[in-house]
Amino acid sequence: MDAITFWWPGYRVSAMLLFITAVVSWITILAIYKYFPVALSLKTSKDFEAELIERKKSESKFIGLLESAPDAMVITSGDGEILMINAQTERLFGFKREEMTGKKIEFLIPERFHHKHTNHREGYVENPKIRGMGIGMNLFGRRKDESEFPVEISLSPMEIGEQEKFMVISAIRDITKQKEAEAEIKKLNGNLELLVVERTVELELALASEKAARAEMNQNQLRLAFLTEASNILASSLDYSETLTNLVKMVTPLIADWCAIDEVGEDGTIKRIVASHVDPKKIKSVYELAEKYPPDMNAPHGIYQVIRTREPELHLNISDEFLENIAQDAEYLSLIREVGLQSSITVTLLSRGTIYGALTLVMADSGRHFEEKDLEFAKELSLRATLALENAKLYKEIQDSNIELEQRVAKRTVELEAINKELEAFSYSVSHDLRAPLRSIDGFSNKILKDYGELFDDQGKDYFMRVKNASQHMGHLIDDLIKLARISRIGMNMEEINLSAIARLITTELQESNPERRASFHIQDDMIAKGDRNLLQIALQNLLDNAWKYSKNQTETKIEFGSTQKDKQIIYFITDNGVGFDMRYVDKLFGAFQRLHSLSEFEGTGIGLATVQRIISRHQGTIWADSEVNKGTTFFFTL
Amino acid sequence: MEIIEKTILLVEDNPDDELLTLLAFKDNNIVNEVIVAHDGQEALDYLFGTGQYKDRDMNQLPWVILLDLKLPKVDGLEVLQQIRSNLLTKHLPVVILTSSKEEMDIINSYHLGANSYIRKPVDFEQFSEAIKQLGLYWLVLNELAVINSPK
Repeated sequence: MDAITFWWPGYRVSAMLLFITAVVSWITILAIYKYFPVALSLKTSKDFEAELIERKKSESKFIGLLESAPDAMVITSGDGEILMINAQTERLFGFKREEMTGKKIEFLIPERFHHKHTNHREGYVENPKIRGMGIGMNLFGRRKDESEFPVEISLSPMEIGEQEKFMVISAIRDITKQKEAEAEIKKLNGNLELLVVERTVELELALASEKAARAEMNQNQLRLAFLTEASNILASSLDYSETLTNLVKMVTPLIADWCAIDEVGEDGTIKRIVASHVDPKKIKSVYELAEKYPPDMNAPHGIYQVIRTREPELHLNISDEFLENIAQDAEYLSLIREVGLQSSITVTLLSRGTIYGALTLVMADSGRHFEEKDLEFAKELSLRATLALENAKLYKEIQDSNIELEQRVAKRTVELEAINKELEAFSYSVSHDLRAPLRSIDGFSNKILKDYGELFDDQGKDYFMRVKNASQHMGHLIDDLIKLARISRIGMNMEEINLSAIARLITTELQESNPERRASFHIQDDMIAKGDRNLLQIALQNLLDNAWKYSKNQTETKIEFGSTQKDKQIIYFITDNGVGFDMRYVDKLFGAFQRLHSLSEFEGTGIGLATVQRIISRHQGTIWADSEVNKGTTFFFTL
Repeated sequence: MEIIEKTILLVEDNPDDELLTLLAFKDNNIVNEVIVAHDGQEALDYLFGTGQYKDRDMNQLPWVILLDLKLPKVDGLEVLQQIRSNLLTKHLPVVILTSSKEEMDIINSYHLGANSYIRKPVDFEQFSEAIKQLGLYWLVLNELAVINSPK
């Protein structure tokens, strides 16, 4: 259209030029018009003579003007008879002047216009004025060879002479060229218009496809953003049901009008565990639908089929007639119509081979429908949901097992406390009740020997001595056993302990208990350790007692207590130069009641090192020994 | 001048221990009268003139009480508590003489006002020595606060 508009003024300008030319011609004619009556009236002979000359003059002037006009000039009478023509007319129509003169003007017009033209001509005579002829009409001239050509004609009325004879001057111009140009322009315009239309269509198509692409891109971006957001929301909670609720809430209304998750139970049946709907009032109905009308387990479509085949299911368009067909009863139909079901997607919630259930997305009456491409999106969503679900489930399992563990710990603690109480009662009983008979055995053996000693010979007295010794040894055993039990039981009070100072007190006592023994003690200064003072004192007492005891046969007892460092760990050691022991029996060293020497050689109950080991392990340390028979023994320990 | 007899109240349920204790007194020439109560209730009855001892002369209070902890009916700590909570007996010396060396027993005994805590050794000679020292200290060296009986 623009093109047409563009071309139109040009066309008009051209027509205007044509018209102006015609008008100029007529002005020329009108300029000489006043001479016409003079030229045509004859009065006296002299006048006639002068007039004739004058007339000839003006006639030749008129004719000269007529002949020089650029257009074909035809002068006709009121009834259309051709009176006069110019040379241009001859050239234009191909007729000789004499062939045209005297003919009706219709002679120069194609026959099919004659009738109309005659009417027009007669109409003009009644209302003559200078005007263009047939404005807005296509006028044609007829050549001698019968060919037609488009013309433009200007008409002008004229009355000549005293008779006031009515005449019409027509200026005829061949507008074949203009018409051709016009046609060309029209054609060009037409082509152009066609081209514009084509281009417009192309453009519109391109725009539409771009718009579609953009929409698609926007949708993809939206969905991607949605999936990212979904992942975030799903990851924000480790609570199983909260995760599910978050998921369905998120889906509506952005992705679907309503949404439900059905969980697969251990028996393979499904249970609707969470649902959402754009209309919160309808959520209840979504549950009710699943509860009252559970899907057919054997149907070749639906949730069970999706779970069975693990293939997603897409319903592009579900008609109301279809719903009417599948409805089991009126209530079902009214329920399903209430929640709305026009399009749906069902995908599994599947992870590492485990099916948690199915996610169903439904379009109700929002007019939206799922498409094939939505399946991928639904799968993506379900994948993310499943991962979140799995996390939540694992977390719940951990929590459950934590609770179970805590319960077990609590139960064990109670059990342990009971056992501890029992042990306390036991050791109390041992210390109190078992010692009483021993006292009797020892006491009365003693009285027998003292009061009735003369009744027995030496062997008899020896037997009573053995009874007495045995009962006393048992007394020591009981005492040590109780000590051992107590060491495991009593609470620890951790503080900085100067082991060197404690060891010095012990060795001083040892030396004082047997002043005649030659002994040297080397105790490293200021060995500070963190531990329970009482327990560590008992441990050092036992170790140093042992060192003292087992080196009693040496001419000079040498005992050393020091420390070394290995891998940032301080290792304490107590070395003696005593009898040592065979390393083959090292395994038995720390066992209760285990002894590597006979009672006659060295006294002891076999509880001491067991006690030491227990104290060291209560300090998270370890103890070990290195020894060689008759060379001495070294005990190493860490704290 | 009234002669105050320095009696000993021995609270002991084990007849062997009772005999051994008496023998140890004898070996060490401790000839003071020893009243033996075989359970906690009997000890309380003697001290407060109740039960089987309701007719006894309440002017006679033991010079020292040797009290075992593990006793039938009323245990040693309970007996100690009642001794200390009665005006008449609250100043009497109470020596705990027991097999137990449990720390809690020792602490509780002193807490309730025991004057001494002796663990009976298995070795009779050591036991005899302990009885000797005990007798020397509480019957000879120690002075008592004399409290007038209510009668």
